[in-house]
Amino acid sequence: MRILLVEDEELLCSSLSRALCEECYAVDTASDGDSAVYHAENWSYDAVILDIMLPGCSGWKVLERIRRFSHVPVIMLTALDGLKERITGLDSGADDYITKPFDLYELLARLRAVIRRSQGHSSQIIEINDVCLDTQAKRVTRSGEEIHLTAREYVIFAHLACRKGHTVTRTELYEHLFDEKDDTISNLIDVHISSLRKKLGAELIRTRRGLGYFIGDDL
Amino acid sequence: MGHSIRFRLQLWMSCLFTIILLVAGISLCIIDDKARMNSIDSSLTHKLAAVHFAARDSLEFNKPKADWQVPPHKTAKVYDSRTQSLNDLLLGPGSEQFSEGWVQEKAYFIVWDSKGKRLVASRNVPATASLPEVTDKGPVLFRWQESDREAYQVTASDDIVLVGQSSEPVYAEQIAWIQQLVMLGTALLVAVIWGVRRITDTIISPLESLACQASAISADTISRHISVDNTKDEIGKLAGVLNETFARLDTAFCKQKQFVADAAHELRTPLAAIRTSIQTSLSRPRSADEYRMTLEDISTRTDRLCTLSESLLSLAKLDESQERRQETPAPCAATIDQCIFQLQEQAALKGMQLINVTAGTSLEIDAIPLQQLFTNLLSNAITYGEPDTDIVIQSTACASLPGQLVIDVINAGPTLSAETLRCMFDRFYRADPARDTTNSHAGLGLTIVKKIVAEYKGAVSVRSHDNITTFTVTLPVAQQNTVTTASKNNKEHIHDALI
Repeated sequence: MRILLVEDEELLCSSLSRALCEECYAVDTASDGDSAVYHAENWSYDAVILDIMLPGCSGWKVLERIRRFSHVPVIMLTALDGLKERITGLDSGADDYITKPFDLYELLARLRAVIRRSQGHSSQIIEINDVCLDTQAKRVTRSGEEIHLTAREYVIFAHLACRKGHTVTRTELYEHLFDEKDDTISNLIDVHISSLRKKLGAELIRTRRGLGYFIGDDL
Repeated sequence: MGHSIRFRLQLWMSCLFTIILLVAGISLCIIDDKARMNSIDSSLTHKLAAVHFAARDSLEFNKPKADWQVPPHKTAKVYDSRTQSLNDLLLGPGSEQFSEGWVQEKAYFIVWDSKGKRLVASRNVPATASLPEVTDKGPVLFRWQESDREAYQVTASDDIVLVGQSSEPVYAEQIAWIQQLVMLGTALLVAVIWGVRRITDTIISPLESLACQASAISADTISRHISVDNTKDEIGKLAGVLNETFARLDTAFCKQKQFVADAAHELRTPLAAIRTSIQTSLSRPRSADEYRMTLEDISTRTDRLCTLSESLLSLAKLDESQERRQETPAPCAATIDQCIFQLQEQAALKGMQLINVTAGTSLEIDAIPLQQLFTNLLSNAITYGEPDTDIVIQSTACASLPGQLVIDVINAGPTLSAETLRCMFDRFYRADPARDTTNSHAGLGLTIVKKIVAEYKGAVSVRSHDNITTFTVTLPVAQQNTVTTASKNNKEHIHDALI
């Protein structure tokens, strides 16, 4: 999952991005409106966390500009807690609205919720045959037995599982799993996939030659 | 008391008009009564004259025919007594005017001779008619005999002639007239009350609509304006004044809202940063170095929050200080030196030097708030000034404006844009948003400067060109002292200062 974090307060930005990284998200940060729109235009994100009071261009304008080309879930982050502001926020295309100073765990839960909704799942548990993925606990079980995955393996598997029934291209995997600071070479994905196949069964992740990877229930 | 203006206006105007109508009606009645009395009296006088002449003529009752100046076709009679003569003259044939005409008019006459003997009387004489007591000859006198008006006169031969007339027909006429008057008056009163209602409605209903519109305006709808049909009349002017007031309130509300929003942002963002830092650190075990880094970050943010809360508190204090603080007068130069001493170290970190060129000014100023003013201006200059340059603070007693102390704070630094110069004194404005996180300035320093200067009815301005920025503060020192201090000591100081 790749997140765009738009926040001008340096410490808040750094600590929040660290917290998100530790939650296995790939995080890009932007400290002003223009760079936020630039990021959103050039990469595909699973969610955007957007501060309202930004230098130069306000968060509302950024949201408006992002909405012109994208339906990415947006969580507004703001110091204003008036009812009017919340209503305006939700009405102008925001998916959620959270006021500072927020609780980190609440923000993470809301982030998971908006991503889940945007992908069309209503539950945090995704089941594929005998493999079961809990996105909140970040746990994968096979026939009730817990499988230990590395962070990378987990994010790749979670992304494929969330896109169950769809073919996921390698580009898409790169876009969603690695942030701009990552310089992972392309081979690594194959390495992680083969290790996943060893752990979860060779048949679970199928390769669509020339297209990408596919996870789906057995027909 | 609890009644509306409309009710009171209607009541008072109706009362007033009723009184006016009553007074007018009563006056009309009195005038009319007098006119009627006069007309009765004058008609009686005329009638009396006729009887008077008859009485006089009857004195000649026994004169021979030849002496009578009688028209040729008439025959003159010779009478045995005055009574006979008078009877013939006044009641006989050819005298229908007296015998019939007057009876119809309810008029009557009596003639008495000098001995009080009734010589003649018309046949409708009322029983109440009696011989009046008279002493003077000549004048026509009047009297009331029950409802009859009587005029009488003593003739040259001491006869008494009396003519009377019943006043009943006149009274009946008068009563009918008064009835008409009352009806007319009532109609007029109704019309007046209706008119008063119309007038009060014309006055009050625009006021009511104004009140209705004004009461519909709340904090949320304050930008709405009151509309009136005619903006030129008094109501229109009132609406104009209200609209201006609402506009000012609106501006104040907006400023207040902006302040709350800014303050919320300024307070909550560092708090959010601190909270997130702490929660992230606590979410899993970290190395000692990581903890140290987190704590350092938190410390920086806490410092900023402290500065901010101090600034907010001093702003709030300035906002509420309508009552004067106790003044602590001190020489201007010394106060500036003290500020420089406090900020020297901070300036030295950027290789800057603070120079005080307050030469020979012995003016005294209120030290405590002005110390904050100088500190804010100087630390602003240190923050935004070019490193390794000098900051000059000079204060002079202005020659062109007596009693004005002019303080300039001059620093080298990039020329400021017009936009920056305009917004500089606004709350939470920072020339460079990117500096936000690197210094502990909350963007309130210059707002506080502006407040303090306003408190002393002075002025502060800023100009920037050729990479030199100058803040100029003008304080009316002498006036301020005379206005705000009553103590004799201070007056002496002012005296010294003015010399």
